[in-house]
Parts: sequence; C-alpha cells; structure tokens
Amino acid sequence: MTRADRILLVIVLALLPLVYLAFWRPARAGDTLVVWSPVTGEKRYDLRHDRTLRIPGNLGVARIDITGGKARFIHSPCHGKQCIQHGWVGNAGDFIACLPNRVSIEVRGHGQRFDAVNF
Amino acid sequence: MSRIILLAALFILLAACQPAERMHSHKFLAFGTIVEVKIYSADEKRVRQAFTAVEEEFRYMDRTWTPWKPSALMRVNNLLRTTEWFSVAPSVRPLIVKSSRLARQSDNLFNPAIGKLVELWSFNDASKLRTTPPAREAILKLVRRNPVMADLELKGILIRSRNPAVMMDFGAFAKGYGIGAAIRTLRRFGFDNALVAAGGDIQVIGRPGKRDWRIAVKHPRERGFIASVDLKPGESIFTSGDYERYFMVGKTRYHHILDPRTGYPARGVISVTVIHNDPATADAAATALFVAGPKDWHRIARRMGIRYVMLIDDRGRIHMNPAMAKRMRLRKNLRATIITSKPL
Repeated sequence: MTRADRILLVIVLALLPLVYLAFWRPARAGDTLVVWSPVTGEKRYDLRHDRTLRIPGNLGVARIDITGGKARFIHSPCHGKQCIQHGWVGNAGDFIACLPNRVSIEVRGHGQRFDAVNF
Repeated sequence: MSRIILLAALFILLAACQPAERMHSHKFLAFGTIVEVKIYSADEKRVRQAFTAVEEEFRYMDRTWTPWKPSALMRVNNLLRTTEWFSVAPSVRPLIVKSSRLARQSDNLFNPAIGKLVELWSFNDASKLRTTPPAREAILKLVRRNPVMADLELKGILIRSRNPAVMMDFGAFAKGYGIGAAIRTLRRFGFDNALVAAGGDIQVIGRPGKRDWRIAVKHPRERGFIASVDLKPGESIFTSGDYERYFMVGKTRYHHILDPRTGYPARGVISVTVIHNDPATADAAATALFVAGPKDWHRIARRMGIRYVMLIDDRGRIHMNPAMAKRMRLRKNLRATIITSKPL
C-alpha cells in the first residue's frame, strides 16, 4: 500500500458516517410546517416558533397548534375529527389531511420519506 | 500526494460545471383541491415555464368542466335536456367519448350521467352539506328515469340525448383526465421525470434519480398510512373513499359515491385503490369498483382492464388481487384480514 492509498483509505473511512447520514438515517425532525387550504393556498410556518394558527377551509376555520417543533389540529369544523385524533406530527414527511375541510398540514425538512400521499 | 489534491480539485471543478438535477415542486388550487406538480430536472427556467403551463391548463379544465357554474359543460347539459341535436363544445367532446366507453365497460356503475342525483344530494357544493338525506320519493324518481351515457348520440360534432334526465357530472373522472393532460404537457416541455398529484390522486413519469417514486397510501379510518408502494414509470394511483364528502345521521354515513342503481351512497366499501397506466381509467375504475362492492369488484375490474386493485370493505378487511398484494407494502403493525382474490 502506497502513501496515496493510505490517504485515500482514511478519506473514504472519514466520509462513511456522512454517507450514512445522507442516505440511511431514520426519519428526522422537520423544520417547516406547510399548511394548505383552498381559501388561503400554501403558507409556511417555522416549526421552532410556538403559536396557534387559524386556517379557513371549505367548511370553516381549523385551529392548528405549533409547540416544541411539532404541530397538531386542535379544532376543526369537520364531522369525523380524524385530523384532531391524529395527534402530533413532527418528522419530515409527516402529514395530516382534513379531507372534508380540505385543510392539510405537512412537515418539511431533510429525510422526506415519500414523494406523495395517495388518499 | 500533490497529484491526488490536483485530481480532487479538478473533480470538484468539473462537478460544479454541471447543474445538478433536483426536485422542483409547485402547488396550486384546481378542481376544489390541491394540485401538486413535481419535476426532477436541472433546467430551472424550463421547469418554471412548465409549472405555469400546467397550472393554466388545470384552471382551464376546471372552468370548462364544472357542471355547477356557467361553463362549456353547463351549456351542453342545458341543451341535452331539449333532446334535439346541437354542436358539442370541442373541450367537452373527448370527455364524453372516453367516459362513455368506461361507463359501458363498468356496467354503468361508473355513471357520469347522474348529475341530477348528485345535485339532489348536494354533494356538488361543499358549503351546503346536508344533515338528512333527500326525500326517498325524489331519489327514486331520478333513478327510474335511468340516465346513462348510452342515451347520448354523437355524430361528428353534433350531439343529442334520447333521455332528458341526462346531466353529466365528471366529478369521478375529470381529475384523472386532467392529470393525464398535465403529464402530456410536461412531456411536451421535454420532462421525462415528473409527478402530478391532484387531491391525493397521482400519476408519475420516469424516476426521481435512480430510485422509483415512493407513494404512501393513507389509511381510510386510522391515523397515518395503511401502505406504501413504488410506482413504475407511467403509472397512476387513484383512491375513492367514503371519507371525502359525507354527513352522518346517527351512525349512518351518507357519502358522495352514489350507486346509480339505488340512488343512495354505495354500501359495503370504505375505499378502493387502483393502479393503472391511464389516470382517467384509474379514476373511473376506483369509483366503479367502489360501487360494485366486495362481491362484484373483481368482475368489473376485469371488464375495465384493471390489473391492480386494493379494496377495503366496511368490516376493515383488505381485498387485493395477487399482483397488487405483491407490491403493496402494508404497514407493519396493521391488524386487518387480508383477502387475496383470483388473479385479474
């Protein structure tokens, strides 16, 4: 093994953890909440700033709570309230769609798991 | 040593010359839902042009194909009531031709001619959600008049209806047809790797890099996903569910997927997911198989040339044909009975 080979080996070994982080890491916490409504269109919110959003949808106003880097529906005018029962989302790629009210939220960040959600 | 550094520097410089392919995404509202277009490309300027073109196209289709507001389709519907010949709008004719064929294949379980029934149930207007079903007699009166696409006669650009009860509503078809048109536009712009999703219904072309497009299928009742699936280039995935537009009376759910034979919401099914290369066919089939129910879906799928089906019945059981069962990755902790049908 020449000196150049040894240097190359060291570089490759040093890069391995980065490669792991880039391709095989588990779902990671997101940093942005993308909120969609047929009334307001797309809006983005920083998940690091705690607040309560009031988003008008097809049936009425939904309330979305952002706390500690996670988000959840806390009020919705829909019948089933599945959006509220879903609870918290915080990992990149997580999403909740309130179909009756047409308001959806999606966590964006690195490590997205899916290209799209079919429903 | 210096040669290695020189080579590394040269590699970095060369890599910088080539703009990297990456995912571009654009969302807008059309057909009363969110439309998302994703393009995997390095040509940012061309991507922006394509986004504008697709958005304009969706807006045009939306304006043209709504039966509930002044539009080309509304004019056609109004004139069909006269049962006389008239010239059909060129923007509507291809939908009539294609949906008539699909309606015939589905034994009219996919029936875009029942617009009057949809209107009676007020499923055309999300802001006017009913709290009780319409009067039984009013429903049965419309069912007895039996409007079907086969009542239409087409001669070139002329059309007439033999049945004045026909009122076309392409709610179970236009989104699929529109997604197909959007994909064709993207191809004309030279993009071979893209995804178009409208309200959860999706078609993809090519691949985002070296992997397949990864799609999650939402659980129709529980939180999160029920399954995930990779789509091959050109495939589309469509789901029809009872959770989209509905109202409850006690424990009874009255949803928007109407059975043309009874005039009431189709019973026995929660959702149907279909994978097919043509999104308009997938859209119509998802509705037809929902109406067909757990006992008859297999026969209708065969008639419509559908190769991949997942149906969840009202007991939560998952029915799939073997080819679909092979590619659907069900959620690991899912507690559900899986029923694998005969091959399609």
